[in-house]
Amino acid sequence: MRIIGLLIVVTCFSAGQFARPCLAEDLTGTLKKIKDTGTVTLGTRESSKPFSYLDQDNQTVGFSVDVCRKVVDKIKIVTASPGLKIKYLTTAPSARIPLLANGTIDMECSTTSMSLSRMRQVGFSSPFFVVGARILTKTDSGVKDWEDLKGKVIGVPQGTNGEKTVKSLVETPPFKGTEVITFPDHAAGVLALETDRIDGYVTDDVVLLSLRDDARSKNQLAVVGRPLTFETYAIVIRRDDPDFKLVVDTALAELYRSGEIHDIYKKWFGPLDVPMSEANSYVYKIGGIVQ
Amino acid sequence: MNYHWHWSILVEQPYLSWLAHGLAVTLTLSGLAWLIALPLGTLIAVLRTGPWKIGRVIGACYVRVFRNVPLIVQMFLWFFVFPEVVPKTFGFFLKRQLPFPEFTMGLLCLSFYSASRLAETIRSGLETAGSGPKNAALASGLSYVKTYRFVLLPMAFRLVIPPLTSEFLAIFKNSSVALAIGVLEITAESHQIESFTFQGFEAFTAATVLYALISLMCLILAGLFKRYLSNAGGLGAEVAIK
Amino acid sequence: MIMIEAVDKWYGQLQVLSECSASIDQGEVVVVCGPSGSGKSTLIKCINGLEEFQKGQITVDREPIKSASTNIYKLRSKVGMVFQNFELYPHLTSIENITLAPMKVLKRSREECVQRARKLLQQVGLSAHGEKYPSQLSGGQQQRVAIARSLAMDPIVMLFDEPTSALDPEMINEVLDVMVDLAKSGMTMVVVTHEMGFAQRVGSRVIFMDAGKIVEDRKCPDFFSNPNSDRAKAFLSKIVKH
Ligand SMILES: Nc1ncnc2c1ncn2[C@@H]1O[C@H](COP(=O)(O)OP(=O)(O)O)[C@@H](O)[C@H]1O
Ligand SMILES: [Mg+2]
Repeated sequence: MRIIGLLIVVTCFSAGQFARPCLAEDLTGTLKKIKDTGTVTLGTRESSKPFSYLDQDNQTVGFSVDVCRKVVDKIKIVTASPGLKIKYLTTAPSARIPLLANGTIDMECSTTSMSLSRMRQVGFSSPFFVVGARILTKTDSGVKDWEDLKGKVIGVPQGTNGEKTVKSLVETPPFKGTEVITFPDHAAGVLALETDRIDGYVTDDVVLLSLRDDARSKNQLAVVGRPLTFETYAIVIRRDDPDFKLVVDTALAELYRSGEIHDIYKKWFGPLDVPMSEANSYVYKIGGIVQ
Repeated sequence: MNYHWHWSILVEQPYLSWLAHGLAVTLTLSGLAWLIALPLGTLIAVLRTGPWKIGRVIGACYVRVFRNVPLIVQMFLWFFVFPEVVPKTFGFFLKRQLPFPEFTMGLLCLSFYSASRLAETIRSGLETAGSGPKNAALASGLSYVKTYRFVLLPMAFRLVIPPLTSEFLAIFKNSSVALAIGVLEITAESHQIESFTFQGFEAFTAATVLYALISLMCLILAGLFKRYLSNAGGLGAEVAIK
Repeated sequence: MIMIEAVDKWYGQLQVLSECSASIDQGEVVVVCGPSGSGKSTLIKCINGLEEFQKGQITVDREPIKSASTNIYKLRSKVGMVFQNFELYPHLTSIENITLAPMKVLKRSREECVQRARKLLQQVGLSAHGEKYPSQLSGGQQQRVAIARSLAMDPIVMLFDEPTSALDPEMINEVLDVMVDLAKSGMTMVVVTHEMGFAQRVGSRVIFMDAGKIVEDRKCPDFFSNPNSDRAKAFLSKIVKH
C-alpha cells in the first residue's frame, strides 16, 4: 500500500512537474495529516540564534525557520492546500521527540545535527547547513588553535556532538591532563569563559559566532581554530514516512539549485559578518540534486 | 504514536556506562551531602532552640536564607557568583585549582540547603521532646551540651525518624538540580542519552527506575534503623552508656 | 542551708514572685502549698537556677545563685529535683536514667554507678525494673525511679514539685512512702504538695503562698491547727474536703 502510495506521489511529481497538485486521496502519512488539518506545525527553539529563535516581537524567526517555510511552500503545492497555515511551537530539546512522535509537530526546524544513532528514532531531511566544532576564547588568552588548549580547561555544552568530539580529543596522549567541563547551556558556558573558569568553549562554529555577537564582552572574545569535525544540520521528521521526506528533500534541492539559499544565508549571516564556509557551499552544490 | 522503542540502548555502550556513572555520582553526591548536612543541620537546630540568643538568631537566619532561596538559584550563586566575590586568589583557587569544581560546589550547595531543611525537622523533634526532660537533665547538673547530646537529641531523633527519612530521600531528588552547573548525575546522564540517541523514553525510564530503587533502599534502611532503635532501646541508650 | 532573700520575679509584665524570703535548715522538711498559679513551682525552680529571678538572692550551701563566680551546674548537681510529670528520659532504661548524670557530671565509673543505681532501685522498691523503659512502668513506679535518679547524685537537698499530683490515687502512697522514708533518713527537703497527710507526718514547716507572696511560714502543727491568714484558712478548708 505504502509503495503504491509512493509510486503515485512520485508519478504526480514527475507527470505534473510540480505544477499540478495531486489528489488528496493519494496522500499518506504526514502529508495526509497536513492536508486534513489544514496546518503544518513547526517545532522551533526559543533561543538558537540565528537559526531558530523568538525575536523581540516574540515571532519565530531564523535561518532554519526560513528554510522550513520554503518546504511548507512546497507542501502547499503537493497537497493542493494554498491556504495551509503554519503553526510554530517552541519546544525544549528534550520534548522534540515525543512531540514529533505523537504528531504535535511535523518538522523540527532548529539546529539538530544528523547522526546514525538518532536515525534509529527519527527521519532527517537532506542536510541544510554544515558546521564545524571550533573554539570560543578570550582574545588575550593566547589560544589560537586546538594545540594551545593542551593542559587547559575546555568547556562544552552537555549532550552535543561537540562534547563527544572534545572528550575523545582529550583522551589522545598529547592532550593528557586537559580538563573538560560540561555546561547545561550556552549561557553558562559563556559565563564560565568570561569569568576565566575555562580557557575555551567548544561547539558548532556558527553557534559560537552568534554567542560572541550577543556577549557583553564581545570585543574580548574570538572564535579560533580549524574546524575539528563537521556536522550537518537537517530538518527532523518522523521516521518511515518516505513520501513526506521526498517532498521535503525536493523542496531543499530546489532551494539549493535555484540559489535562493544564498539569499537566506545573507539575510541571517550577513549581519554577523560570517562568509559562507567552503563546506557549506559544497553542501548546497551537491544538495541541488537534479530533477 | 510514531515512537521507535529501543530498550537495548540501555545496555549498549557507552550509554550503559553513562548511566552507571550517573548513578555513582548521584549516590556519592547525595551520600556526602547527607554526611555534611546531618551534623550541620543538628548544630543549627540546637542553636535555634538553645539558651544563647546569638545562636538562636544565627540559626534562624541560616534557615531563613538557605531554605527560602530556590536550590537552583543557590547552585548558580555558589558556582558562578561566589568565586567572583571572594578575594581574587581564593576565587582563582575555586575556579581553577579545586578538584572537580562543579561536583564540589554542587556538594557544598546541596549540603547547606539540606542542612537548613534537616534543621527544621530536628528542631520540631527537639520541641516535641519538650522542656520537661530538658529541665530534668539541667537540674541534675548536666551542661547544655550534654543535655542535648544525651537527652534531647536522642529523643528528638527518635521522634523524627519518619520525616528524616523523607528528607533523606529529598536529598537524592534534589541532587538532580546540580545538573544545572554541569554535574553529570543520573538525570543529566539520561538527558545526555536522550540527546545522543533520541531514545528519551527509555533513558528517562531508566532514571526513574534508578531513583525508585534508591528510594526503596532508603526506606528499607530506615526501617532497619527504626527496628534497631526499638530493639536496642534507642540511639540514646547506646550513646549514654558508651 | 538555703536562704531565700527578697526574691522578685517577673515574666514580662507579670510579677509571679514578690518579696519572697525564707530559710531552710539542714534536715528540715519544708512543705510549700498554696493555690494553683501562686508561684510555688517558680519559687523552687529558682532555688536550683532553672528559672532566673530579677531581684533578691538565693543562697544554697553558702553559695549565692546569682553570682558570676558560682558554677551553676555544680550547684545544681548538689540539688535534687523531682517533677510533677516525672520527666524520665524515655529512651533510657531505669538504670540508664539513674546512671546518666553521675557518669557524665560526677565522672564516676560505669560499674560504680550501676551498682549504686541497683541499690537505689531497691530502696524505692523497684529492684526488678532496672532494665525497663519508662513507657513500661506505671506512673508511681516512674516517679520512684525519678526519685532514685535524683538521689544518685548524692544531693544535699531534694526539691519536689507536686510529685504525686499527676498520679492515680492508688499510686500516691507508694511514692509518699518513699518520701517519708527519705525524710526520716534526715534528707533536707522542699516539697510542693497538697498532701497534708504527708505534711503532718514528716513536715517541719509549712510555707503557704498566694499570688506570688509567701503568706505564712509556720511550724507544722501550728499551721494546721491555727492558720493566721484568711486565705490559708480558705485554702485549708478546700483541701480538707477531699
Ligand atoms: N514560662 C512562663 N511564662 C509566663 N508565665 C508563666 C510561665 N510559667 C509560669 N507562669 C505564670 O507564673 C505564675 C506562677 O506559676 P507557677 O509557679 O507554675 O504556679 P504554681 O506552681 O503555684 O501553680 C502563673 O500565673 C503562671 O501563669
Ligand atoms: Mg506548679
